[in-house]
Amino acid sequence: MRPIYRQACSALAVLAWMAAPAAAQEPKRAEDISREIEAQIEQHIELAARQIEHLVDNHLDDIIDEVQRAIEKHASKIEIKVQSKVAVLAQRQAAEAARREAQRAREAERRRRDEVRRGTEYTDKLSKTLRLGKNGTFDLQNVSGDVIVTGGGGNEVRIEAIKRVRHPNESEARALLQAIDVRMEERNGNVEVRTDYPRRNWSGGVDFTVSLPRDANVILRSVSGDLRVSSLNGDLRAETISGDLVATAVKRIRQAKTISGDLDITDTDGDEVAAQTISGTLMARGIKARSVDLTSVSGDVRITDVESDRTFVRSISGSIDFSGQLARNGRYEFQSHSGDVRVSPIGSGGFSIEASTFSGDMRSDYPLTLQGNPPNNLVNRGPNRRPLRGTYGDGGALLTLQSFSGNITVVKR
Amino acid sequence: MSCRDYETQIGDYVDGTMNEAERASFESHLAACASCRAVVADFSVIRSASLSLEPQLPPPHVWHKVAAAIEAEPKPLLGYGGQWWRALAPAAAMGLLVVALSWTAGQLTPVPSQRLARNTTATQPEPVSILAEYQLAAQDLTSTIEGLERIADTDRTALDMETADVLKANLTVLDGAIGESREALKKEPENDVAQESLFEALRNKVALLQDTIALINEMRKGNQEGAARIVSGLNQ
Repeated sequence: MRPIYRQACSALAVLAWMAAPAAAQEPKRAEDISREIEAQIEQHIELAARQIEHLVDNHLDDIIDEVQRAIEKHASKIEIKVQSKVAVLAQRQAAEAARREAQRAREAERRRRDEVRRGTEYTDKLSKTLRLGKNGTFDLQNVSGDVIVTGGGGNEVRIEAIKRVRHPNESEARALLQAIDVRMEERNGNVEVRTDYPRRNWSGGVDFTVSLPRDANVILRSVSGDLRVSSLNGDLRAETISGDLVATAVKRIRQAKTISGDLDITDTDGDEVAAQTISGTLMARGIKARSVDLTSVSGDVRITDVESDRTFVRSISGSIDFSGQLARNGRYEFQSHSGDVRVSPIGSGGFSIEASTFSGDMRSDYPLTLQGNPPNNLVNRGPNRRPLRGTYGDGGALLTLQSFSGNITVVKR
Repeated sequence: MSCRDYETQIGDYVDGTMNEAERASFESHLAACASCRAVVADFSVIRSASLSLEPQLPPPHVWHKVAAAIEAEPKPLLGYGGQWWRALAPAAAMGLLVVALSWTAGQLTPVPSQRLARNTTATQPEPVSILAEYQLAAQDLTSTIEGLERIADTDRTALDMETADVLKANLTVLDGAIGESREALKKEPENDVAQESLFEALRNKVALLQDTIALINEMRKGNQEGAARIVSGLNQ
């Protein structure tokens, strides 16, 4: 302000000089005017300074508060975004670690088997044929070794067991073979197979190849061997820890479970498919069933060419990928915590959809009618949105898709 | 009152933030004071001119300076004109923390007493919110998990290394999912997706821990065949 004041004074001095002839007549008045203007300017400057001082004294705190609130608000938004990203990243890393561990377990299993195959192998073959009653159950429990079960005609169960032992010393190997006790028994129309192993370190196992009536019910349990079952109309319950489980053309899969092994279910035309894995990959292909119920913790779930009235798939960190025909009035629920959910309906059937996610994205290749609005592609971004409900075509099938932090997509094939 | 007394009120007068009595007093002074009227006229021109300006964002270094000034400024506890809530904010935050801890502690406490309480209310039904039901169920599952974890931690060495690693990695996945869901529920307690995710993860963790323990027991007994049976409980 001071420079302005000086400039104003200089300007007034110039004006006074220019008006000198007039001022000569009345010199006293010009000086008075100059002083008056100078005094007024001084007064205004002083007043303005006090106003500014007052403003600073009384309103600066409010301004700072306002600024602080704005900063806090933005910081909070950024913090939420960062937390969300970090959590998603951590969950993905954990899921990846789980997959790596499962892979490691499967590789260890393969190494174990390779080791078993190395060196001199001594085997002992057993076979037995037993009668299975109508609606009878074949029940086999094993620790190590593969089990192959195939359904066919007749009412007999033919079992071939091959004990395998690898050992540098032949007599020791023979002793171990003897120590492996395989019991195959018929009880009340059912057939039971049990294996008892010597309690010491050794390398080997028992492989089973079984053929039985296709209407038989089958129960298989193993620790490290693969289980393969095919052409069965009866109930199947099969469980293994680190081995893989493969079921082909099995009509009623009541329970198929693994911890780290993969699960592969193909060409089933029947009643029910219920399969669970902890960290193996779960694959279901070419399935026609009344109901399909698949779950995993970290394993991915892939379902292709499935026709079912009720399909429920749940995972924690695995992704879910479904393609299949949607039955009118059918129910399809896919839920994952951090994995992506991808659905590809096949055919011309319509569907109603309810999709929800906490922090993922949603997209549909199908034009959906959302709450009476014209058909539109469902695209939604940003966290904490509400569930999206819409219909495509006649809205016949009911699709429920949910992922906490993964993305949801409905894909047109 | 003199002009000097009124000078500090000119801004409030122009902004229209004076109360009735102050404005009446000031206007009676203005009627008799050309100087103050001139200042008011100037201020009005400045005000209307400033209102016509486009909002300008200060450059980043200004924000940094303001932030530094705020950080450096000692914060009064009370007597912060119109900002009493700031003094109470830490107390409120502590209160929230206590509530949160109580809720968490409730989750970790044994269930019977609460179950008993719920059974008691069965004879005298009271409306219970869905959220309360969710919290109660979450307490049940969390208590179960606490107990199972203690047992499972006692002898994991009975498991072969690969299986133990797989189980551990998947428990980590489940813990991550539980943590994420809980964080989400802190922000939005009634969010359906977060609630369902939490329960799915808790339920899976209970199942996995139960099977881990059963597997450990069977392996410890050297009963690998029995261990094969354990898989049957998975995910149920």
